[in-house]
Amino acid sequence: MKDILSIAVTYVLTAFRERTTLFWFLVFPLFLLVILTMVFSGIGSTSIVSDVALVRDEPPQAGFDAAGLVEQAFRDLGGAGTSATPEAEQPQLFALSEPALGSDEPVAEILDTQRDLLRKGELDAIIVIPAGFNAELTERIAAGPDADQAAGIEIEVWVDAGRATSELASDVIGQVVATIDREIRIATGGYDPGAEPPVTYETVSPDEGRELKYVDFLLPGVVVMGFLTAGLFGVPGNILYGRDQGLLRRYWVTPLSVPRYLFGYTLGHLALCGIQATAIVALGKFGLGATVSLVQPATLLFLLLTACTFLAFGFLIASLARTANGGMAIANILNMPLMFLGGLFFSIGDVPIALRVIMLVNPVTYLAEGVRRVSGVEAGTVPWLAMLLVPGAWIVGSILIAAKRLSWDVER
Amino acid sequence: MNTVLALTRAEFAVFFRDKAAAVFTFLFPILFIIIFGFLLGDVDEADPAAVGVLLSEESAAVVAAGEALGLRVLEFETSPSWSEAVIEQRVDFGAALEGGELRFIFNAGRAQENFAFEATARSLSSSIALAEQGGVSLIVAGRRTAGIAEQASWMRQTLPGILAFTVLSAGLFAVSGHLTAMKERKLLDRMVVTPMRPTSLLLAIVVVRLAVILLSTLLTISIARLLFGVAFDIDWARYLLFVGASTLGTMALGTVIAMVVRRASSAAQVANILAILMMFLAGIYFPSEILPGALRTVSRLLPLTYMAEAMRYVMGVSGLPQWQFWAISSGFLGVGLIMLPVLARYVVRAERG
Repeated sequence: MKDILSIAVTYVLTAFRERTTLFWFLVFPLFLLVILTMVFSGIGSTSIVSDVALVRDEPPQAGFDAAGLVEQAFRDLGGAGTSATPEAEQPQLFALSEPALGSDEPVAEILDTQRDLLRKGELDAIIVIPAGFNAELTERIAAGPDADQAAGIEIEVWVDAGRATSELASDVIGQVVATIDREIRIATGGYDPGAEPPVTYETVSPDEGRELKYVDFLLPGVVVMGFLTAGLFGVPGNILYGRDQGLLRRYWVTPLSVPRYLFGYTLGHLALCGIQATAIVALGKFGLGATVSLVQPATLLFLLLTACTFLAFGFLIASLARTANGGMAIANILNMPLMFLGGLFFSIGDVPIALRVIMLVNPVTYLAEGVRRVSGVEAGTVPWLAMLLVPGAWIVGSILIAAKRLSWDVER
Repeated sequence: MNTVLALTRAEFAVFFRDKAAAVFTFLFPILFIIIFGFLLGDVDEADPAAVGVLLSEESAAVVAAGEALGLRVLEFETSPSWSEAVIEQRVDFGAALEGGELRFIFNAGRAQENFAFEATARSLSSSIALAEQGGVSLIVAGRRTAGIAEQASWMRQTLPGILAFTVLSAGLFAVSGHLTAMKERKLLDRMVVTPMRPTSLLLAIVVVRLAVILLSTLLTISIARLLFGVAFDIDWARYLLFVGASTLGTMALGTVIAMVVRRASSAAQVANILAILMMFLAGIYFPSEILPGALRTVSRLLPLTYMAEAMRYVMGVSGLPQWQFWAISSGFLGVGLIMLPVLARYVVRAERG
């Protein structure tokens, strides 16, 4: 037993001594957890300030100047607000420029220049208040409910289609325009805000009554991903480099047998997975505010199944490759489809039949969903039996192939 | 000249024998576009959101407003089946109008999409309120596209970044992986005692990497076109110039890694780690603008950020001020040209002792 424990301890210590192994085992999953949480939890928040140009083609007029109201609303959100009361202060959503203000240049030319800046990425959107805006709006207000239901007066919003920041700016501008529309309807007596139905927004989860965040969904996925990379890269890397450099050969001249070495190796690998999962969960819980609990018997059993599946996968790769470089090449090829066609980071919709087949035989699909389901994060659709049988089949199949093919010593 | 040719031939053979390098250079971008192209391809088609409406005496107003907004509307008779549909993602979110109160429910596990569903729910709520009061919208936002409409394709936006990453990793590994491995295996020791000039070897490595990168990027672009029908308006002269300059520049960065980390296997690993970290922070997977403030600053310090911007520009995906393109290209070229003599002097030399 001492020799087995000694192999396990050596495995863990070596992993901690090798900086690159440490990176893939520990730093990378933690980095991924932090960065994905920060990115996806921040989407839709007001922390992004878009570069927006406002071009007013409608001259100011005395009396009801709706174009002026629109202009002022965007100025307020562009950090140039003139609100008298602190309650009316708005968060800055735009870095607003007004190129037509005080310029003698024709609006068409100004707009051409701005569109060029938009295409070059120096602007995220352009808002144009078109000529005739006030007159058309007055006409529409006068028509009341008889006005054309389908179309309102357009405020032009120019975007660079497909560029994320431009699309985001366009969404925000759309919401601002909808708010201004409501305010004008209220101001002109065409709308009673008191008659609006009260609105509530809630989230629902399989675990009734628990408020889940994106990090709760992500955390189990990152733990499974950590186990996947540990098995996929760590195991064949260890065995093949050890074999190629003659390190394993030194074991075989001692009384240690291959099965006892393997037992110790497995213990060491599971211990390392345990350390890795603990670090990820600790960061998620204490650093990022996750509420999902992975310390439950069912979850721990699923995590054990996950670690064993990818350990067996590692042995399979080691048995298929002739050299360490070859092993890393196979691991690299398998890594992406396993990781991204297993629903680790986002749910997967309709895909062509070839990719669906990969998804269905991919153990990650079942393990990621299993861990999420037993920890109450996801309802899931895969039958429980399949969640145990598919990874189980991979373990048995991989071990059988590895037992037959894996060479433990340098070829002579 | 014969020496350079012989070395170039040898370097080609060595490159294709190194499975890990070949996989990273050729298969990585192809696998990436195939997997993500099929997974995320349909995001461009703007499928309407599916809203689950809980049946009640007032629910007709929600159904009518949802259909008017172009949403896919599914009705549910009981509250448990309604919330179950949201949890099991059969619908994107749920809406119920009961006793004059409007209630929306969202799946907690879809936090990364919920902001979009909440915006749709707000529009739905406004439409219902407006319809109930018999009013009409006075002003609306009319979308206009300044660039090319088909730019909106996910593939067009992402592929140039992936190609920039291919250039970066191939350039980094040329020195930090390949050359240091030659050094570790004492191959350089044997070569430098022949009449071969260090610059001939460097030239051969540059030629091979450039050819491999061009081949890999062209292959990836062709597969994207064949499988997904994505066409790029490539400015070939600038494309060749930029790929050449950035290959030299990233080889220079690899030189720095090779000088700091002397063991070949460690240098390759450090290069790999840096490349992966840069991929997440340089706006390849997701735009760097949506990163938190501090990481956005880090992103602006990474060479891959500028490589991706320039690559998008030469492939006609997004605009870039002329001066910025020339600054990026000449920056990489300059760094490469300055570092090559250093490379020849400190890396391509015999080990002492």
